[in-house]
Amino acid sequence: MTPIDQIMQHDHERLDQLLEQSAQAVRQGAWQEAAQFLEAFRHGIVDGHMVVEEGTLFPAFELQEGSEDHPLTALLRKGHQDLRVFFEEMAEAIADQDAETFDDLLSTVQTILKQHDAKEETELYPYLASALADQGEAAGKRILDFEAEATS
Amino acid sequence: MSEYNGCELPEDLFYDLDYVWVRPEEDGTLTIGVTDPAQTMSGRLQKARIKKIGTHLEAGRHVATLESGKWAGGVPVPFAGEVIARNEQLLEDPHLINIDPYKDAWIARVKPDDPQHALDNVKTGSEAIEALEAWIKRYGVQCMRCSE
Repeated sequence: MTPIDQIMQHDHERLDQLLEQSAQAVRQGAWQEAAQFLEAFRHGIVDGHMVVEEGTLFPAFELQEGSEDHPLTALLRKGHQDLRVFFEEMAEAIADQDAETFDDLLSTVQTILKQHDAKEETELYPYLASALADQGEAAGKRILDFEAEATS
Repeated sequence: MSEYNGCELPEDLFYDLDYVWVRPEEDGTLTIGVTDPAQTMSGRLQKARIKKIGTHLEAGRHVATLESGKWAGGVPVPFAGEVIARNEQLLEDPHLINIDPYKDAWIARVKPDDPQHALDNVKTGSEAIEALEAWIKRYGVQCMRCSE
């Protein structure tokens, strides 16, 4: 079984690639392709990655730390909330074929993701195996299922 | 003016209890900015983008994005409305937010679609100050203002 921290980290890399593919398509003026890549990215991160984190990983970490109001998970949840809005704004920029707005949003989102992902990979993921009753097997399977769905 | 861990929290403003303050103006518009603890958390701001005048925003959408060397994020509007003014000075010098977040460094002025309910999702007075103090405590913020 692949450890949960490695699965989540690999998912970050996969999602980063999808976002970059969308940005590349915007640079080429391939708007339909850009929209498809962005939607694949949004689906993977919002409906897959964030759902697993908010529904399973964060609560397990909070339970282990003995606080539902832990500053780390509070900050990460807030980051998710901000990112969801940014993804909608990026989709609108693509629909409007507005490369300048898209680039501005991309710059901000990539900065947020870089910091957010680094925080998760250093302060959250390494502690998950011990926090989860099944060492993260079920959560990892859900992420791997999402990855498999995206490549099928 | 309340103060907690060095963070100034004006009692007459409205707050989304996270990053944003809102000030009602006499003409019915609402001015938006970020709080003292939020500017401290963000670090020295290096970039600000503010939506153009005339842009219509739904509640929760970003009227601005801010970036420092260590942080980036959006400034959400707590109500739907149209941007009628923006602080052009911040586009040149976003660091002003680290100096004077409540006055000179206001971000934008927005005309709400529904003035009667524009402040439904923000809090003011002692209820807001208590919640903001809890926010400051949760993140362990000790406020610092830059002088220049």
